Amino acid sequence: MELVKREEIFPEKEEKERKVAIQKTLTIVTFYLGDFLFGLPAEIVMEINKDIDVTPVPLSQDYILGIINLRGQIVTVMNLAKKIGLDKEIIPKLGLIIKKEGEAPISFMIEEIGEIVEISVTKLEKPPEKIEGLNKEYIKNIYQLPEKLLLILDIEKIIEF
Amino acid sequence: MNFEEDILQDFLVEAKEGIANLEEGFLELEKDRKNIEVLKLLFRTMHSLKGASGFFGFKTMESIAHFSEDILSKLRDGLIEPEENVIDILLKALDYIKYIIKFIEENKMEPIENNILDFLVELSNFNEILNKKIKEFSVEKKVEEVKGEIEQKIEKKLEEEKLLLIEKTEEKDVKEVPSIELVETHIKVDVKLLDQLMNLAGELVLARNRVVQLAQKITDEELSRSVQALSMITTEMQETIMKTRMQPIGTVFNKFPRIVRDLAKSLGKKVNLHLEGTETELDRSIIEAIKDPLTHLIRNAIDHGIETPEIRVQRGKPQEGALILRAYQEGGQVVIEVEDDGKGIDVEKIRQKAVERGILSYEEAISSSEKELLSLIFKPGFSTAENVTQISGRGVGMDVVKANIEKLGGSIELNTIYGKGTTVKIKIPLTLAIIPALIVTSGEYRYAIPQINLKELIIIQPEKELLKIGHTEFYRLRGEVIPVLRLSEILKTNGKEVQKNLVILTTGEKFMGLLIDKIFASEEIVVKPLGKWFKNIPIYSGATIMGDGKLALILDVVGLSQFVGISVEEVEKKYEVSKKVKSFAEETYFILLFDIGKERIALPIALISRLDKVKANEIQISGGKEVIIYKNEVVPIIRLDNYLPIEKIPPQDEYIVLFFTEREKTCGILCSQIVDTIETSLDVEEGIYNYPGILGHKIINNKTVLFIDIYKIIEMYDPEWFILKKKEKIKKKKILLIEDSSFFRNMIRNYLELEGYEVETAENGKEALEKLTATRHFDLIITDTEMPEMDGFEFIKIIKSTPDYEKIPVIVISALAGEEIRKKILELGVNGYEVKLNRERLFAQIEKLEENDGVS
Repeated sequence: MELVKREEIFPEKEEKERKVAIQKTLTIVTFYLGDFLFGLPAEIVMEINKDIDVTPVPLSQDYILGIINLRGQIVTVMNLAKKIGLDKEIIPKLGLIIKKEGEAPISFMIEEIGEIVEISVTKLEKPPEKIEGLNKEYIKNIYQLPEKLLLILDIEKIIEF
Repeated sequence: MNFEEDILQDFLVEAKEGIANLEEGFLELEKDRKNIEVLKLLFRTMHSLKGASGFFGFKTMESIAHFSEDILSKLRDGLIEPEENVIDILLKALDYIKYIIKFIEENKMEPIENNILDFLVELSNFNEILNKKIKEFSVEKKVEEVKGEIEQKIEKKLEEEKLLLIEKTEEKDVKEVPSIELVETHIKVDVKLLDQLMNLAGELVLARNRVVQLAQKITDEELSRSVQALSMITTEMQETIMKTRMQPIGTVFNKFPRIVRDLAKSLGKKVNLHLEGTETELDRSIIEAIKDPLTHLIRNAIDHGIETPEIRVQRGKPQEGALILRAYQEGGQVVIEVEDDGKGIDVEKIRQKAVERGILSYEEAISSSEKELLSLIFKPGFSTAENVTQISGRGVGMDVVKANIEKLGGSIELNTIYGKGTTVKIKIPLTLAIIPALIVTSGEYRYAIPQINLKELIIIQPEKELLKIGHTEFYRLRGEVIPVLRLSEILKTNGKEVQKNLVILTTGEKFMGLLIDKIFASEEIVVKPLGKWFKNIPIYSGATIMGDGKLALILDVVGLSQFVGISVEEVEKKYEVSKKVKSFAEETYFILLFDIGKERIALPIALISRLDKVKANEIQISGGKEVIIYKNEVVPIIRLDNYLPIEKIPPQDEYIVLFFTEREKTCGILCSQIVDTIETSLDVEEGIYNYPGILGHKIINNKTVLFIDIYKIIEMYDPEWFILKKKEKIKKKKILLIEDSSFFRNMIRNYLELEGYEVETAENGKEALEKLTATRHFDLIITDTEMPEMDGFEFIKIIKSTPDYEKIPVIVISALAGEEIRKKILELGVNGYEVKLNRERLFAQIEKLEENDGVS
């Protein structure tokens, strides 16, 4: 009995260590909305769609554009720019489908997709007191890429209802 | 199917499985008589058969299985050799078991036949011989001769036995046990497999819809025929798959007798539980989900509802409380009722508690109707139990019950009569996955309306047929006034300019109209849930994928009805500062409020056919009377100030005219302005304005509002107005009118008297019975249903069971509408049923009765 327990514990420990090792870098999918470059962890990005046919749902929140048919599944489409208080008019063209464990998938409307980047966890910074042009509470971290500042979105906060 | 039958089914399925195993095993044994594994299996199977048949009290079968098991155990343990005669008798035993199972399946009991009993004796003897053989073999193992002798003896005896049996069977000319092939009627299937099938069926329906749509674009007879075939097969398949998931509600109901008995015992109460409609079938997922809510309701009924035997006796009830659990199908829904004859719910106590707990302010509590107060029971944290008991009354529960039922797409309703009992009525859909729906459009998008909520479709001319008063529009559907919503307005989208399609919807309780742009099609839709972002929008119950891959939102009719409700309630709150709560408070009507000069007047909207503006210079004088030309018709104009003690209507450039039409005659009533419409009860105060044409008054928004008797006023204007054909009445008919609302009582009495009837009135059933006893003879009884002291239902029941009165025709007038109520009322054996406020129809009923009377 004792022995079994130990055996069970060991791989867990190893995995923990592995996890820490992995967490040292994060794979981030980046995309553009207006002048901003945003990022979300690649693990929650399911797919990117264009030419999406949104069916509006009257009486819903202003940041909800409606619903789409994603291979038989009903997926909510969010006007991400509106949700995070981006004060600039943007023309969303693409749907970034996000699936978080235990949540229904949701599609964020974005303007343009950027690169997929590996970032070092240790270089993540807290967002500044104020970010001009959008609501800071939805930004989890910022990260300085060689050419541009990457804003990592707080996905929990965004899809919180 | 009841519980017993249910488990009997299980038993039969298992027995057949066992028999199949045995047959296979014996076949194996033929090949290899020493196969110990097969012997073990045979033993085990026979053993389970013995146990199961013993449980059901199938004694013969149990015995056959018992001896067979015994023999098998000897074979298994190597005590005897698997010789031909042993296998033979075992196979024979199996044949008998098969025969018995078949018989049980058909007759639900064991066969009582001599040949079976004879076989049992044979089997028992055979086993006995084997026992002896084993004993002797082990004790006198060495004495070979003896063994041989015994063996001979056994064989001889067996031979004899066999011969005997053959003789016997030949004698009786009974065929030997017929070799029966048991047909498998039940198999076990993994529920997950069924769920998957269900999903696939859903997808197939969608694919079918797509094909149907594509095929419509191509005119090819062959294709359209195949598509039609595909379509039909798909529907049938889907229905069949759905059926595989259906289970009788008895599987849940049958758990309750035990719960009820235990609970009643622990509370010192006596409860008699009746189960009705246990065979009603429901989707298994729903069956699972209603178990807890039902348990809760049953506990409540016993704990809070049914009184202790002593109290029941004091109250003149039988010692044993009655608890009825009833299920039945209605349309695409299943209705489950939990009914008890206990003490009912004290609405006044709820009122008091609501104030104590700060849920309602004192003013709110005073002005709340019974229905509103009862609905508080479903609010979280509200309980009226004086003692918190272990069983229920912890202040949690009913809100959870309601939430669970609503999660299933169902509704819950509570009716109670204080002192007499409570009925909780749950309505749930048969299945959740696929529903028939009407697809309509608003703007460029489609919406689905579940068929279950659909009453009828009407093409109307909105500008002519809709009556807009205040913010609400109304449509008159065969005498009933129903509020109308415009889908495009609710959705805040751009609808077509002229919307002619009116969909009449029902929530089960009330009707409403929904104006839409276009009716698209009737389709089977697969309900898909909407995400959490839309949970707070009451008007959707989900979404569906249409044949072309686009989405349509599914409208929630109950949610939509709240849209009528909200506005009306708001208006009501605004206007009604003081509202007295009376027994008929829940009987509410849409009332039109209008002004004549400074006076505020009220009329039920149902009485008004149209309203329109008219310029002062359009009012002409013809034959000494004021008239207007309205839609090519001469319509006389009535000024209320000529007949009522109110100020003259001040001159205006433009007036409002309320049109009143009966039997194709129309007149108009002139008024200064329309104030609004409200939904309110008609509990008017009498006395202060005691004047012909005024039924009473009521304070609404701090202003005295006069409720007028339109019939009386029109009669004052023209006594001949209502008299179309002057009939010589042979005898003055005497009518007993029972109605608790003074408004209706007086109005109906007035117009009955106008027609030449002699009318006696009573305010409730009890008073009516007194009147009946005093004045033996009445030609007709007209009664309301909802009344204090004794309601219409009880009153009619008494009338119909009293020889002196049973022949008096009864017409019921009720504020309650809907098929269910109609059915309930007509079941009482009454002669007619009319919704209140329809004079024309009431007279038609009376005339019909008189005609019949004349014939007989």
